[in-house]
Formats: sequence, structure tokens, C-alpha cells
Amino acid sequence: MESKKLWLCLCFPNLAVEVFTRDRTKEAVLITEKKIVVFLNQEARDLGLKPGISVAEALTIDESINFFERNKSREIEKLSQIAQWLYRFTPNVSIKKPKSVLLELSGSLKLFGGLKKIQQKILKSLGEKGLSVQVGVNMSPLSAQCFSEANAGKNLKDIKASISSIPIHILEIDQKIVDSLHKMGVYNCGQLFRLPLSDLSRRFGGQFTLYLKKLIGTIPDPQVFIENKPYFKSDITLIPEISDKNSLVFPMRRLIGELNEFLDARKLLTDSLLFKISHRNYKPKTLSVLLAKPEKDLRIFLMLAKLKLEKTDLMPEIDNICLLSERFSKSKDDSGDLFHETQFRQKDGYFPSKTEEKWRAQLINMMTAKLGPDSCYTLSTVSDHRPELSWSKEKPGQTNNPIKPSKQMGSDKEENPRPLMLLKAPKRIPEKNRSPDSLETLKILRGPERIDVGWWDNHPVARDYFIAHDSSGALYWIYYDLNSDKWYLHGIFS
Amino acid sequence: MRETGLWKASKIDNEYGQTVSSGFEILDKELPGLGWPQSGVTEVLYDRTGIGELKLMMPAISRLSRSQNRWVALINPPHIPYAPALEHEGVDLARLLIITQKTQGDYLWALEKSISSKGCRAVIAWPNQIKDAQVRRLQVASREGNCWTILLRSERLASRTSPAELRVRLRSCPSAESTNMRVKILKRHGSWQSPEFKITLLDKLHQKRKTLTRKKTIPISEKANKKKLSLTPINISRAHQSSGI
Repeated sequence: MESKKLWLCLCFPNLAVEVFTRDRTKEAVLITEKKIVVFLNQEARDLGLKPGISVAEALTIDESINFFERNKSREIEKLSQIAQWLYRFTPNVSIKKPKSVLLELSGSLKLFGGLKKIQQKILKSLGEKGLSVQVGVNMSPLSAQCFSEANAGKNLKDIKASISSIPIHILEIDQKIVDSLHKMGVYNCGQLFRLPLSDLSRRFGGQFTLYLKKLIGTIPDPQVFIENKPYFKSDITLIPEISDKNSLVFPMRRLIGELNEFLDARKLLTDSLLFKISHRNYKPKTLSVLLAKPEKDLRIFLMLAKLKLEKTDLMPEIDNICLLSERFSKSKDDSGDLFHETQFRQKDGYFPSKTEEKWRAQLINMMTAKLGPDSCYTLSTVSDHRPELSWSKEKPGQTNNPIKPSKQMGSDKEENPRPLMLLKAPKRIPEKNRSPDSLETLKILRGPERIDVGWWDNHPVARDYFIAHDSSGALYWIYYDLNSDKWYLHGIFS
Repeated sequence: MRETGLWKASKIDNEYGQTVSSGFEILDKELPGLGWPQSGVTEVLYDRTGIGELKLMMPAISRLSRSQNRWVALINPPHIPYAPALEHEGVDLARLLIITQKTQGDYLWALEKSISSKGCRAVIAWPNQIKDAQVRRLQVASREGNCWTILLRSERLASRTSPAELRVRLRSCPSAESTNMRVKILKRHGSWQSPEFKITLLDKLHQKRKTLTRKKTIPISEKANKKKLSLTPINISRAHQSSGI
């Protein structure tokens, strides 16, 4: 027989409300479905409101109440975030719609120092996230789920005995069956299991007894576990709405903190963060923070996000901020070196290469966050004879090995030196007879070097290049265009 | 001299090996510590673009780009830094970072941040409007970030004072026959101004030219030949000044 499984189920009874109120607002919040209140938080309950009343009724009690239309997809999303977070305790995490998450913990007890410790950790952290939770522990998935819904604590022995006092309406069965069982005088599981299963099967169908067998663990109940695909999404609804973008820094910091936790748990790094800032009356704005190198450092994320925020114009009101991250890479080493962060500098003025690499990436991060992704680039040479096409921009840090010029090319350069600065566009040089006010005369020092290529593509070039100097000795790279019979300035020997 | 316990103030930096050879012996001799500094602001004041103001820095820049794992950054260069020429100078292109920005505020921000970030070994910028107070800030940032900051500025500022630690004036040589550059160090640690001296940057070019004109082996396009003496340049230095922020 395989080893005993231990199932822990987390049930979030107020999930529908808490997806909106995780800020633990002190204001009353109602969740409605078709203008009827279906869920409400404690603050609303304190006002004497109850589920089932209409929106109009609620408004007569207090005008300032916040309403949200129930958003089931958001609830599911929240569950999957929680599931992703719980992945740190066990790979066997399963989402039980509509409001529970199931964990199989038998393999993790030793590592985390027992069930009690795991439970404490989970509850503490979920509490910090502003979620109310009920825990159930049992030996089969369904019984654990029932336990959590009934908030019945834990059981590690006989399943059948443990659930005897659980009321049957908690079971995931058809309401009609519940009603007819109630009519038969069966109210809890103890009474239910006293009846012979074969009779129940005849009366209520095979599906029902199959469910019961799974419940008490006599037949296996395989679970669909969440995929280990890293994905991070978390959002904060701002109640009340904010209009000052500087106050966005605080929710941002919280979201980044969560992301950091997620990355830590999965031993991952990310190089892209996407903030989605929205208000129901405006088009949402996205704010993407791209990093030069995958990171997990909270401070770097926050600094870059702040820079980006400064640069972005936002709508006048904001009621939701969401952080998304999808691109991850594996974190290579977790333990820093011995002199981590000391920025230990050697006597010769050199720094450890790892630290230098970090600084280098940080600079790129900072620049691109504030100035845009195209503001930083490195150069590379392209083997093309046309001067304007013989170089290209590269993403910083992308070029691995600079292509070394071949020997022949090298001697060619010696023969025909290239200027350090190339004009963005060649500039016409007026001829003397046409513009008498020009100041000085250029003298040709070297040339011509004929470049006549590209007739096969869309950028044909037929030029004679010369090196010329003016009377002060400044050197220029000029060419005579063979097609247009005109002179151009193309480079400066800066 | 060491045995006597005496040392010259001008050699003080040399004790710590904190300089980078400029690649020109005559210039090295005049620079404190026998080379370009490791940090601090160096102002290079030049009268015309095209006299080799950047080329003068190239031996040191190329060495820095290869010897250290940090960036050599060019902040808003006035034209396209031309990769084939830079590569020819020995610069590691993967370490040469170009940072561009659109407004003056961003420009100063990017300049200061790249200097103080420790991510750059050297920063080269062409600031047009920069106040003394801002240069002073860069001087502090440059010490903090251990970054050599080169500001290429107009020669007209030579008569004014500046908080920059090292100031070098470059002047073109009007004599058409050579591309010598006249160099004078206006301000340096531990010493007075230097006399003006000449540096030859492209002497090979001239040697080659002589042989070429003698042999006349390369056929010059006829039209080009006819017109070459009547060419006049547009005022490039002014164009350059306005393109930098």
C-alpha cells in the first residue's frame, strides 16, 4: 500500500469580497450579482446589512457604501495566485473552484518541520495578504475540503468517523439530493454513512455513491495539480481611489514585495515587470519596466518603477494597480560571495568582475527606465562597404564576441582611415562659385577611395571618398557623388 | 629621491598608479601622475571639431574599454560614433555604451547618473550649456563613481575658470601641411599651466600622401579633379555645436 496521503485544504469564504478589499479597508464593501447583494465584509455586516438584500435597500441604510459587481474570473485568478504561492510548500497543489485550494503535504512534513509549522506559515502569510481562510486537514481530498468548509480542523485517523458530524449540505452534491436526504431525516454524514451504499446508489445514482467513496478514501481521487509554469499577477484595488500618482508608490512597493517573494520561492529572476494602472472610467495605462539583466532585487525594481512612474502621465483617478510578470529565468547562484555588497576594491583600482557586471546592468536599467528602451545602445561593425551601413546598433550586453577585422581589412584601414564621427546624413558642400560667402577652402589630402557598391539592392552608392582639411587643419571625410556630381561631407576626424 | 623622503607634488598620483597613459609621451610627461586621471572631471577645450579632439583620447579609452568590465559611455554624441573607426582604434565595442536623450534635464540626469553609478569607467560628453555648479556636481559624482569624466567643450571657455580638475586646451595648427595639434594644459594638480606643445595625430596620413602625390598612380575621377580646388566647407564646427544639447 502506498504511503498515507495528507491533504490540507484552504477555503476562502470571503474571497468574493476580498479580491476587492485586500487593502483591509475600513469601509463597507458589498458584492452584488444582478443588483442583489451576495457577499459583504464585516464592516458592512456591522451596519446591519445582509446578503440577499437589493442594492437600493442597502443604499437607504448608508449612501457611502462601496459596490462591486461580482467578478468570478478575478476570484479564480486570485486562487491561482495563492496556489502559485503555495507551490513553495509542495508541488502537489490543486485549485478547487470556486473558493478552495488543496495541498498534498505528506512529502513536505519533514522539510518544513511538521504540519503545525506549515499551517502557521501559511496562515500568517495569507493573513498579511488580507485574506480570511479556513483550514481543513484530512486523509482524502474531498474530506479535507469538507473539513475546511466546515472549519473543522484536522483529522489524521479514520475519515468516516471524522466527518460524521459534518452537515450534508456542505458536501458537493446536488441540492435535490440534499433536500430529499433532509426529508429522510439525514442531516449529517454520520447518519448518511449508516445507510447502505448500495441502497443509496439505487436511490440517488452511481455518481453520488462514487462521490461518497472518494470522500472516505475507499477509491482513489486523482487531483489535477497546478502546472509549474511561473506566472505572476497580483493587483490592488484602491479604496478610496487616488488621484496623486506619487501615492501609487506604496501599492507598487507591496506588489513588488509579493513578486520578490514569488521569485524567491521559485528561485527565479525576471527581467520585465508590467504595471497596469486603471480606472473604470478611463483607458488603462501600462507601465513596463524592462531590465538589462534578470534580477530579483526588490530595491532595483522599486527604483526603476519609480523612475518610470515619474515619466508617465496617468489618468486623473486610479482605482486599480496590477503587476504582471511572465518572463523568468533561473537564478543561478543563491548564495552571494563572501564579500557580498562590500564593494571590495582591490589596490589596483579594479573591482571584482561580478560587482562590475551588476553595476553595468544597473546603469542600463536606470537609463532605459527613464529615457526609454532605445536610449542606450552599443555599436558593432557590419561588413558592408557602404559607410553608413557598415555599423549597427546593438542592445547593450548582447554582443558576445566583437567580430575582429580580418588582416586584410586592417591594412585597408591603415590605407584609408575612417573618421571617428559620421554625420547622421551626408551634408552638401556648396561650391565656391555658388556660395561666395563661404569662409574657407577645403584641400584634399588623400583620395580618392572609390566605393561603388549596392547596385543590387535599394541603396546603390557610387562615390569617391577623400580626406580633406581646411585651413585650420581640421580633417574631414568628404565624397564626390558620381551620380549627382555633387560634393558631400560625410565624416569628421574628431 | 624616494630615499631622501622627498617627493614632488606633481608626482603624487603616480605613487598610487592611478593614471592611464594617454599614449602620447609628450602629453604623459605634462599630465599629473604621468597619464590621464582615473576619476574626476577633465575638460577638453577645442577650437574646431575635426582637429582630433576625440582621437587624442582614443589610446586611453581603448585601453579602458579592454581592461575593465565597466562601460565607457558617450552621452549624446553630436554625430554617429563610427564603429569601424572605433574598432580600428582598438576600442572594445561591446563595452562602449551610447546614451541618448531628448531634453536638457534628461541630459544632465543621464550624465550625472552614469558617472555616479559606478557602472562606467569613463564618460565622454559634449555639454554646451552647463553651469559651473553642475560641473562641480559632476566632479563629486565622478569621485564617487570612480569614473573618468571627459567634457568636450568650446575653446572659448579657456579664459574662464572652471571647477574641473584637469583642463586641456587643444588648438588647431593653421599650417596646412600637417595635422599637428597644439596642446596646452591650463589646469592641473600640483603644477602650473604647461607650455603649449604639439602632438601629431595622423602623421602616417601625411607620409602616405607624399608618396601618392609623387607617384600619381591612383586615377582620380576627372570631374572630381576639376572641382576639388574650388570646394568650400560649410561651417561644420558651428553645426556640431548646435547638435549637442
